[in-house]
Amino acid sequence: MRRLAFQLVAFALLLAAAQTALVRIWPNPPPSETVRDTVRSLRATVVLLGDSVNHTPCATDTNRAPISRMLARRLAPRVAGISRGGFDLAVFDAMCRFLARRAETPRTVFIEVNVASLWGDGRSPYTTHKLVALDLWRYDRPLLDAWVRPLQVWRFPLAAPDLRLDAYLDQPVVHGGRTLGPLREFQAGHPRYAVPTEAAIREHVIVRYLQPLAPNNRLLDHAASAARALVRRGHRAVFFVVPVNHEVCEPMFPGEFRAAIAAKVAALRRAVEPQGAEVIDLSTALPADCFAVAAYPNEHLNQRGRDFVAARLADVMPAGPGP
Amino acid sequence: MLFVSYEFLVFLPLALLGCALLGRIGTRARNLFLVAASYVFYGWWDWRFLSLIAASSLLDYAVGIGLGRARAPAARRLLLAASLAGNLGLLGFFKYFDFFLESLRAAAAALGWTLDAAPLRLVLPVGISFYTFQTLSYSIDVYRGRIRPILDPVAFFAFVGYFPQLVAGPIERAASLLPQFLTIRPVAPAMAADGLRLMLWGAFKKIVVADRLAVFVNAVYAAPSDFAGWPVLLATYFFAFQIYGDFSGYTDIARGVARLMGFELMLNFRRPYFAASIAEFWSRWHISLSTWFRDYVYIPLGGNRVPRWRWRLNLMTVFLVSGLWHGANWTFVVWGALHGAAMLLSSATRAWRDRLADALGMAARPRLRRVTQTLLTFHLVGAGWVFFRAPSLRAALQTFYAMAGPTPARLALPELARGASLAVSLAAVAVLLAVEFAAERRPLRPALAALPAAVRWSAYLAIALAVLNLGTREEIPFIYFQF
Repeated sequence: MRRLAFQLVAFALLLAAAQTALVRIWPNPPPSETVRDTVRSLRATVVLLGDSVNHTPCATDTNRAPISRMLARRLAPRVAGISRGGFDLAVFDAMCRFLARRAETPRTVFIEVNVASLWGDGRSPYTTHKLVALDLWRYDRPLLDAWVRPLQVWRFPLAAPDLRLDAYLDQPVVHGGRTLGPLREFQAGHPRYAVPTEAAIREHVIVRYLQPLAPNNRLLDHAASAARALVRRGHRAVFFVVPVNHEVCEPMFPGEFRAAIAAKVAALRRAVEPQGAEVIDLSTALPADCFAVAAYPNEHLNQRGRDFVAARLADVMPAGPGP
Repeated sequence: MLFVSYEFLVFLPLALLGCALLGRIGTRARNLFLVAASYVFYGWWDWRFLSLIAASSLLDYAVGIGLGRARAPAARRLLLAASLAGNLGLLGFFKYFDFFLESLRAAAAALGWTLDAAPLRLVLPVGISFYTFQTLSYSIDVYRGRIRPILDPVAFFAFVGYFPQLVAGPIERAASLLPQFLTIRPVAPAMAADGLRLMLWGAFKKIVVADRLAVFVNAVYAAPSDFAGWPVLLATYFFAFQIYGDFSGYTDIARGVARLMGFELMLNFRRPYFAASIAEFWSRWHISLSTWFRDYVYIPLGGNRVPRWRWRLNLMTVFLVSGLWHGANWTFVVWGALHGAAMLLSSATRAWRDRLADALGMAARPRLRRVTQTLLTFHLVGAGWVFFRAPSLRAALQTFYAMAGPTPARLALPELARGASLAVSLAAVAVLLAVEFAAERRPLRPALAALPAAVRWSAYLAIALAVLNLGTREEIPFIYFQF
């Protein structure tokens, strides 16, 4: 048996050497653009983490700059904006933990919260949160680079795939104590939305804003984790809730809409404020004409809207240089 | 818990260590530990269903004790009936209730009646078909007087819940596995090395062959009409190797793990795609199930010692029940029926086929005849897999229809099912077939031992590297877990 144990150890060592050599010949894919952006943001003193609300301009805009660039114009410190469509608190958590670990001097991190994706298992399936987390993790540990593929194959939690598209689309949409159907039937591209009707708009409001947010929702856990990681290392964490087109939504569900948004913001506050983070609630701060589509429930802003958000974020920064 | 998961990589060394250490104290301590470890293994998926395994174990343990004491035939029959009702009732309720209800509703609707009963939509407990059959075989064997009832409840619970084979077999017989829980068998280095080799090869079959092929198969079978023509045909070939790699890979890992603990599990696959007839296929594929049906259904029905028409009926019954065992869906029933029909056809046309072979000059070329028969059998089995894989009979027929259709100019295949990735998957199948071909010609173990150590170790290293690097990120559950 001793001989077998010796052979096993020798085999393990050989395998480790072969695995290291293999990654030289067949390297892992380079870190994603998101990871490169996150690493670059280490040079900034203010970082804004956002989704498409940050960077999507409106067709009529003359100034197509994202919110982060508008913020940069208002602040003396260096500002880095990182945003991709569909990013959410799970991705931001990985980024914040990386920034907290790596940033040598204190900085301010603005974290966007889009209430439209703050419900259920509301991560969009294309956020690839785990991939970002894994990429950032391996960036910090070059020696373990050789083991990224095995970790993925053997489904190490950090490397496990994100929520599957089917699971995401099968989530029930509820309203008024009733299940209306799976989320897949309420996707914007669904054939029954081919002709925009008021009923369709009402359904969009229900799906985007009126879904209940459980207190143990993992997106809230990610928000708390991000806040905790930053504040513990002396950084400033500021969550900002992006505006929603409340002038369109409120008349459809008087009282109910505002209460639902307020409940989500309150849940966010309960999750992050005890960790020492701040919350700026801009959810009902803008009129309909500040949105990309004035007559539709959405969060994409035109340049006036984006500039407003940048101004409100700049307001919370102390005058003069510094975080 | 899945064999291919980091949790299992942590669990296994602890289980082996516990088994070895407690084995020094005695069988009872070792068995108690094995029951606990097995229940952790199973409970990792859903602890609530542990009660079903415990209930099934308790029932058959009590039935065994009862059969040991009862002398009157009526009492013995009653006890056996209790075991049959308990185990088949459990299986029927969790696995078939909705299927029969919905079939009944469809039949009623066809007659213009309405049946107001809602399906229960129960979660199917993983491995229920395996462990109920295993405990059932114990009670039947005790009833028949083939084995003596076991008095040690811990050993019996360990026998039913033994984690390597709990959720996907092999379906062990009490006569071969139960005695292993009553003794401590020291693990010889050769046995441990064999176990490790089996585990490595099983992981290769599952991760590198089955999981990679699954990406292509899943994409194509999700919408066969989008991939008409050769992709559907290729996906069907791939599924044949996927299901084989998946299931036999699981069995190999299970047998390997058991050997590391000093247990021997039965062989469940013997290179089934080298079978030259459907009958031979079933003596090589899922052997533990086919022998179970032979011993507990086919022979009690009279086997082949009955008039010809009755034998045909017996055979068809066994295949239909075997199909239904695989899943509560008409597709599995049709799959079983196809195999049964192929067996009957094969038997009915034997003389005619022999004459044809003579006419074609194949009698003088037995190897060529064998190759032809093997290819034909493989394709028959492959056609059956279409029903096995398709979600419904309509989808299965659409898949056959799509196979004959023109291939679209653009195919939206996932990355792992295209270009170099597809070539790697094909190479993995080629390696599998090459190894199986070699094993078909001569036993692999002595052949491996005869190789220089450097060659052997290089082969092990290459397989281990493939296992570590060539799998998919996506979790592909073991197919037979659903049964």
